[in-house]
Amino acid sequence: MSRAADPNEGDLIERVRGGIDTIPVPPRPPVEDVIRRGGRRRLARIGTTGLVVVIVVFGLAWAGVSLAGLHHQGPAPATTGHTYQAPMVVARIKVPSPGEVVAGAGSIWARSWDRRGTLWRIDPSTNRIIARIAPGSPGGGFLAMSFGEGALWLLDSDGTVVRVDPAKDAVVARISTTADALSLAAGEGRVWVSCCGPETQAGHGSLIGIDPLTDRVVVRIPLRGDPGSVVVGHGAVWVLDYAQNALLRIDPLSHAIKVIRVASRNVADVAIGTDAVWITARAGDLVRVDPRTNRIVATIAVPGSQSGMTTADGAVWINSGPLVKVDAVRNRVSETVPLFSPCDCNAGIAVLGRSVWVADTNHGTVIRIDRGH
Amino acid sequence: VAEPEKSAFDAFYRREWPAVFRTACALTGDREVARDLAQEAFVRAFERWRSVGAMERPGGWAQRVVVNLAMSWRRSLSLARGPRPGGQAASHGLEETVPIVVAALRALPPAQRAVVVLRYYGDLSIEETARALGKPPGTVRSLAAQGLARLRISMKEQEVQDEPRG
Repeated sequence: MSRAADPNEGDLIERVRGGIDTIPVPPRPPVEDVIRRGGRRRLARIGTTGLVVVIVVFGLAWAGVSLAGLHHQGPAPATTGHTYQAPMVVARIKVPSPGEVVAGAGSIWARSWDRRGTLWRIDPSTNRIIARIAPGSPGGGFLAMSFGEGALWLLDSDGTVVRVDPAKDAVVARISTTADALSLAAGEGRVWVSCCGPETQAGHGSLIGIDPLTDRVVVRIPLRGDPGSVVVGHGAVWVLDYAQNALLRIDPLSHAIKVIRVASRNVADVAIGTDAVWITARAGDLVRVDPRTNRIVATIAVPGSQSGMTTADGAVWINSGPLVKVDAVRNRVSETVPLFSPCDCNAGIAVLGRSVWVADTNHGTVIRIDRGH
Repeated sequence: VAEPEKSAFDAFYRREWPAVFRTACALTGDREVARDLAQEAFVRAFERWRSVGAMERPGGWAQRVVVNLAMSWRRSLSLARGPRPGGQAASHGLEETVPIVVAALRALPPAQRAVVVLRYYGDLSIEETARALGKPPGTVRSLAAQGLARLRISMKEQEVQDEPRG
């Protein structure tokens, strides 16, 4: 069956195929390396599955003992004296192709990967969807979402920032920025939008600041390099620069820029912690930056693909296929919760109350995981 | 690892490596990253070889994985925006080695580029492409048509520019 509607289209498709086929292919890494790495992961997966079974069996046994009135205070790895409880999946909420989740106004907000950019509001007390919003996406889908400054903010592919009022569950403003906008975050009295620059002028990026009181663009800070993910915290705006493989610290008032270069290759995501700024790198590293000194103070190896990250109560949670918890006090991986295949997931992860919420795009669910203690 | 399993995987790896690498390269525009992503896709294929090897088209599975990896690489923003001349891609000199059609492909909006690469190079069906990109099948159809239309226009423009002036 031909996919081409006319001979010209068929010819074009053949040229596409032929063109890509001319890309020179480097030598394959040795098959032994691939098999060794794949084999290790296979064993780790089997081990993790076994661990889950053990946890479930022990959990059931513990519950049985409790019901029998023989409550036993198990050995707690922490020093709090509380019974240790591992993180576990407590709910799966059906949402069509969820691409990202954020927490705000006491709810979880999930956006679908569809052309209309449909938004879903989930009530954590019932795990039910309480609002469906169709903000409309002339750009063909949203790139980013952030909650702050009293509103939910969405970035459309055409650079329009859409403001959703959580009190009305409705769009209340649309603000044009530039077509090359990439990411956004709300905080420090502004909504910050990172822009990579026109496609033909790499290195001419910028950071745009929107005043949430007037819904107008009031700040434009030129940035060199290739700006990407943006977060706000510790009195600064933090932007990943993919070209320099660096974290940019930008003062929201003076607009002074401090470049913090990252040794781990291919920085991917950034999040704000209690006393740290965290960066994931595709090399498999989680990098900790001290915001007081602007220095990298720890690099932690994390398994999986590291698709998204959030922080809460002295821990970093990474959607890495398995959900990975990093103890921010000891700077090491402390928990791994198997969720789904890493290649199935997108970046969506958020914390609300005692739960971590993860978007599972391919299975059309938002997964709620009790954080344990 | 049992020898038959190793042999079967090795044959799959040899056969599919070029296509998976080129898919990654067409999407990211960066040869070094593309090589890493392609390798990661094959590591995952071996991790699940019992199910992947039994598939009708394990190569299609690897293509989908590499697309997802490319999306994760830049939190889907790389697909939304794509590599730009002079950026990371240029540092690896891809522009100097690719024909007009690939350059035109890389100038497409990211969603159209991803659909065109998967659909016409990866040879995925509309439904498979939709699943891989998390888009409705109707959207994939439109993006494919729009992508081809834009490719045709930009290639014609390029050809006109390349014609000797008389």
